[in-house]
Formats: sequence, C-alpha cells, structure tokens
Amino acid sequence: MSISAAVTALRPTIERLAEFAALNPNWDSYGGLPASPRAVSSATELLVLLADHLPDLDPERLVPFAVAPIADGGVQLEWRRQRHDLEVEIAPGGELGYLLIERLGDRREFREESNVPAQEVLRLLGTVLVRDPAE
Amino acid sequence: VTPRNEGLEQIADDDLLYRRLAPLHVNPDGTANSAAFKLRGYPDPQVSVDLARLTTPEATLARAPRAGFGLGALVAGDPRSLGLSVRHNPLPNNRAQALIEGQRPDDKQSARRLAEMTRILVLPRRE
Repeated sequence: MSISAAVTALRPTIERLAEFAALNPNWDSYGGLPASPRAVSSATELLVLLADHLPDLDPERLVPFAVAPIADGGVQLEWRRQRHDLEVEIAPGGELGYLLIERLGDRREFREESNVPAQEVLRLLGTVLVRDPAE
Repeated sequence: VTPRNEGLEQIADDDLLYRRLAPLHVNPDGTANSAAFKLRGYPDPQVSVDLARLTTPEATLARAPRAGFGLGALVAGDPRSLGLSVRHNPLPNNRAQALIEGQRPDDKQSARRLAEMTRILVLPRRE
C-alpha cells in the first residue's frame, strides 16, 4: 500500500476534523466551544503517522469507526474491532489520551492513559488494527 | 446561573433523564458517542440533563440552538451504579435541569459507559 492510498482513504476523516474547528459556539447546545486548531492538527498528524506506521495494512482498515468533537476544544477518534475498541482523545492543547477496551468472553477489560506520546498510541493502533479483524 | 433552592425534586433511580445529542455525537450505527459525555478531552464532571417528568422530549429539544438534534435517555439509577450522583438543579429558564456529577478525569470508562447506557429516543439529522 502506498502512503497516498492511505491518505486518500483517510481524507474524508481529515476533512471532517477540519470542520470541527469551524463549529459555532454552542454547537452541542450545552455551550460547547469548537475544536481547537491544535487539537485538529494533532489528530490529523496522528492519522498521517498512522498511515506511515502501518504501510502494509488495507487503507480502509485505518479509517476510524467514529470521529467526534469534544466540548470546549477537543477531538475524539475511535476504532472498533471484534475484540478491541480504542478511543483516542485529543485535548485542546493537542495532548493525547486513550481508552482501550478489550472483550474477553463475556467480560471487558478497560485500560486508559492520559498525556501519552503519539508513538504509544500508534503502537496500540498497530496491535488493534493489524491483529484484530474488523467487526 | 444560580439555581433556585426551593422546589428541588428528589430523583428516583427509575426516573428518566434526557440528554440532547448533537448530530456529531451519534455514531454511524445510531448509538451515542462517549464524546457526548466529555469536556476538553476528559470525562465531563458535570453533565447537564433534563428530568423527563418535568419536561417533554419536544421541550428539551426546543432548547437546542437549531433543529436537527437528537435526544437520548438515561435511567437515573444507571449513572448512580457507576458511583456518579444525579441531582435536580432547576434553572430560572429550565426547571427540569438536573446534573450527573462525579466523573473523574482519570476514569474515561465512565463516559463510555454513560454513552452505552443512553437509549436514543430521537435520532439527529445527519450534518
């Protein structure tokens, strides 16, 4: 797979992220502010790094299940697979955090971290997207 | 806004709570996204909801700045089962307002669980 194929697959997500910075104040009806430019650029950079990190993966598997703004400046990306869900939060200042959910039979294990480097998120995404089949 | 002290309602575990959902906070599969329960990248310590028996779905949706919002419902006992509190917090312009309080920044799974506990009553219009 080429990087350009991956970026093409991710383009709708990247365009959506850019729209989050242009949301009107009170976009969520509870007084929320739009996503900060820093959060949007960090999320976009993470997606580009992801494409570079997993060059052999089907580009469609890189595409998040959901992407959403977080009130007062943040952004969230979420991937879902058969055994794992991974929510990645980007705070207004660009800091990354995550919640990893692993399904083990009829129970779930939760693991979370805040203020982690992008490399740690990429490593987790590598595990989730490469080893775990789509839902 | 300072809430009025008089007329506080006790909220029972089986009371319904309404939460407006921006179109961007409903997943492609029609479920609520946990981002709806977060603030600045962390779980929101004070989630605003409406006590259903003091309002209607239409009235709660009418407080949105524009049409197209969705409406989710939670049973008050569900957030309480996560260790969160639910209390009435009437405002001069919204007597139904209540708060789900107690989400901690280091407990991201509470926002996820709140989203999973949310039943979608009205789907938002896709933007």
